[in-house]
Amino acid sequence: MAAGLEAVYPRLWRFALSLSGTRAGADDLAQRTCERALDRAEQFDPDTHLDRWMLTMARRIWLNEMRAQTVRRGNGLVPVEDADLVSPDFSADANIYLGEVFNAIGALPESQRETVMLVYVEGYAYKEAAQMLDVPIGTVMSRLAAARKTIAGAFPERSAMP
Amino acid sequence: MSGHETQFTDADLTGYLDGALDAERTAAIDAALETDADLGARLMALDIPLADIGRAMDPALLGAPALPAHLLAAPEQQPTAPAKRGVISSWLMPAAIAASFAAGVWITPIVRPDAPPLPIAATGGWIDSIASYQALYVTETLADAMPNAAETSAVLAQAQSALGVAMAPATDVAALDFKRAQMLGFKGKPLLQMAYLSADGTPFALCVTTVSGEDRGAKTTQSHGLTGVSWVENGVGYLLIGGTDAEAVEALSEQVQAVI
Repeated sequence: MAAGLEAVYPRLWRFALSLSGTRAGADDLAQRTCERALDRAEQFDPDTHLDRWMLTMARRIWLNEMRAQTVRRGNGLVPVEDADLVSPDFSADANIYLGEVFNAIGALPESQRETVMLVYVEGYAYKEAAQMLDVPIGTVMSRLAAARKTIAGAFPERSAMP
Repeated sequence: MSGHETQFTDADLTGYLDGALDAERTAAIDAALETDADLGARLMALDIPLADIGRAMDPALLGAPALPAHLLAAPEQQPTAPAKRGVISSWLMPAAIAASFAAGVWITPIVRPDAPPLPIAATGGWIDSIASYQALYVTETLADAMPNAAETSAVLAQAQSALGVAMAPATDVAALDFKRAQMLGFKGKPLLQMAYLSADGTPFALCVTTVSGEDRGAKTTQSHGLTGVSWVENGVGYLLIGGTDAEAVEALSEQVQAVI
């Protein structure tokens, strides 16, 4: 499963970044999650999905063990220019807008942010996200609606009707 | 103000935009939109640049690291059968998980009665790594993806700059429905992934990255239950991977090689 972990790791790290807000926090949370997964390997049902199992575990570790100890600025991700993201070149002209999008996601309340990440970034269906977040589907929809309003307000010129 | 304000909540409209409502509810909103401008405005107020959110959160752009080495198991350490709980030492645990997956979702044996077994791609190599990623794709991963011409052009321009290859023709391959292109990374090197669905809904990926080693012709291998055809040209490796039908993948790869 090294290959399985290896394949999921970039997405796990991204989700960890969305929760923790910093590269160091994402490294810590993603690695803790992998170590926990290895410790509990026998609990994984091979008929289910590794990615969902890992992301759900990451969220639990974040909520139960890391969030309270983590000094964070504001209620979301730190601004992209402060996030200690070494590789992404959000300063390049072509990526300035993407940096603004990143910040808009990061500025969402945590419950909306994690829901947006699971549905709009990771591509899970409402039902799947609801199971991972342990909330009703209606709550997923309400969170997405609230997040959509906030994001649409931030990028009115970028929105387009389907 | 329309009566639809109370008939449809923002959550309903979000479900509509996401294509997640049932047919009846979707039809009701479609019908209401015919006559209700306010409802259209409410939908507009919920519309967001989803593709840009995906791009902003691209692991490659964010610089997502690879799995740290201490969490990787050396292939030769992998046992041939799952170890018993309490007996296995911690450094073997990744291999134990590998074994558990081998029994389930990851390995789908390919049986071609009229052909010898396909060679297995080298573990940890670029083909194997791409296969492990592609194995997570299901039809639904791409079913709702709509190609965005501007976004595709931007990604392909990025790929051309990074890899020196012009891949635009590969967006138009007969028998494959192009869905999206994105830049990923493999061991610090840029990797272009072009995603497709075949007519029967099988996810395919055409991946391009720089590789060491000499140029070589097309070779069919199996990895993570998927069949791939790879070739190397001018130091650039190409891999078309998806499904389990080797003959189909080989035929598709010939089409791809013909257009690029």
